[in-house]
Amino acid sequence: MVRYGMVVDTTLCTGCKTCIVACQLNGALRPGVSWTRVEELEWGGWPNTQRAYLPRLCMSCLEPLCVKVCPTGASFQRENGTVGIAYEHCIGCGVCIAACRYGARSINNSDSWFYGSAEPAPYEEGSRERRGVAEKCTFCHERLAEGLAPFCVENCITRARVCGNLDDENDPLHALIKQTGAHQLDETSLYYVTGNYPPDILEHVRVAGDLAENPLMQDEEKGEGNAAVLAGTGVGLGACALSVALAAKRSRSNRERGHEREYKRKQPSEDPENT
Amino acid sequence: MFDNIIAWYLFLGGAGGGMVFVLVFLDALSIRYRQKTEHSSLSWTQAITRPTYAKAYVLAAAILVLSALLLLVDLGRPERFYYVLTHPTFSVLSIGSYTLAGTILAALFLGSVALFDLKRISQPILLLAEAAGALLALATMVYTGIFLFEIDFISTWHNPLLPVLFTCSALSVGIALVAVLVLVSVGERAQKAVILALSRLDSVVILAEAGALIAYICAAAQAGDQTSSLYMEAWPGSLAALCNADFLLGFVACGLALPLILELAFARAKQRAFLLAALPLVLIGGFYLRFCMVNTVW
Repeated sequence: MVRYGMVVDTTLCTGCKTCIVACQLNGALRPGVSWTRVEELEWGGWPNTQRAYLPRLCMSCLEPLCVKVCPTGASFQRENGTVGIAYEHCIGCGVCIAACRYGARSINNSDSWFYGSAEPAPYEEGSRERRGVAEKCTFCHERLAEGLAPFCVENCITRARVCGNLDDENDPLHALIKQTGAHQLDETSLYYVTGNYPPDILEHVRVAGDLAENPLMQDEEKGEGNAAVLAGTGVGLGACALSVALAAKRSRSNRERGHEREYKRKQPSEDPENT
Repeated sequence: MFDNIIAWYLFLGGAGGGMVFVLVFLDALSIRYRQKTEHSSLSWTQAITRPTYAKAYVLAAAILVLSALLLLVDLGRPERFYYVLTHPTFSVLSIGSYTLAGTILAALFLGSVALFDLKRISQPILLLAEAAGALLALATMVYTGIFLFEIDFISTWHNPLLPVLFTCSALSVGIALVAVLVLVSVGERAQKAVILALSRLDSVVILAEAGALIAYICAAAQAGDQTSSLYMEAWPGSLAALCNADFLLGFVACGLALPLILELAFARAKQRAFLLAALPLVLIGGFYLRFCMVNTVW
């Protein structure tokens, strides 16, 4: 059996982003689309600061939620453990994007090409079908089938990314995992070497990017509420005050009318006594 | 994560489902009264006439169709929307789409029966359609919660009480919409007992919703999602994330506290103004529950 996996050594990554460019060119990615990313992390305070680079890609989860939530079966898992997307079946609902805790997926709704060109360059032709559909790192499964390494692995200048067969005990990947003490990322096919960095830098391969972009999670806005909610609540409270005032007025006029009727009812019976 | 259009989708899906469920429930009470007229406490059900049912079912179907349209416009490839029905999987969205479509059909069928006074349809078929409509409507309400619950790494969503909270809220919104229709389509004298009964029913559902919120908070606290790390220590936990003005004002105040107080005041003082203020608040609160949940990703 074959189950592909990857070791990413954060202690070797220099943040050159050659992997991103290699992926972008060979995958014919459209402007703004990236199937792999490199997070730049900094911590500590001057003069004791540290910096690390954290490459991210599709983590090939053992039980991918993105596949489970897909309403049309467009997302699927291959026998070799990699996750693929049948673009022709994808409706672009975006549920798989929410379901990916590593932010590996995206939908490109723009029909643009690099350098504002009206037509794609020859190498971009392959991405015509990828508009309005979910897309992500393919783990270069076609190259793997031919015995070649993924483009990001092949082009890495420091060999920070290494790919292999996790199901084969004799694959050099196993020796590398043992030698470097790489941590398996959750229940995925990715192993990260963190060296002397705090192991929790791996928190950043989870949905950190998406959370940071969320307005409700940003400290400066938290607790203040947005204008629409405040306006809605204001209108609601105004309506409440008005209703209470109306109800009180109506109740009062009802009472007054009641007294008046009572008075009129009593009046004739009292008259004869008075006369 | 999801756009705000998904918050509207979940709100309208729940509202339409809630309306259909409430209408079937009211009709069941009405049938019960007609069968045994000694249930004088249910005499108010007779004030909801056939044209009112027709309007309400058509409105519910329209709300559900609007909800489906919102999901459609949010798609990257809207022209492929039917793939959800033609290439189904066992995913929540797939099952939910079938449930939503079924609820729309049930609402249209029951609405047509009421609108055209189709007496040729036998009583057992009608009862079967109502039972199916109620089940589908309930499934739609629950689905709107499970849609978010399924995303297992977001603690604000992956809380077993979230579908319960959404279902209670959908019921409350459904009752409010039916009450609005009764207010505008039933004569003032005849509507008095109906709106009083609906208001009491809504108060009970709001209390259940408040209970579901408390249970949701307890479940979240028990999950103990106090993630702290070198980089994220400043980030709040899921409960702290929900403690924002949007949730407290938009949902807790507008959707729970104020409507409950106003409906209790209405039950006591019998002044319609209280109910007129409570009903829009229920709708505002229902929307902001979804809006805050969709946007509070923790």
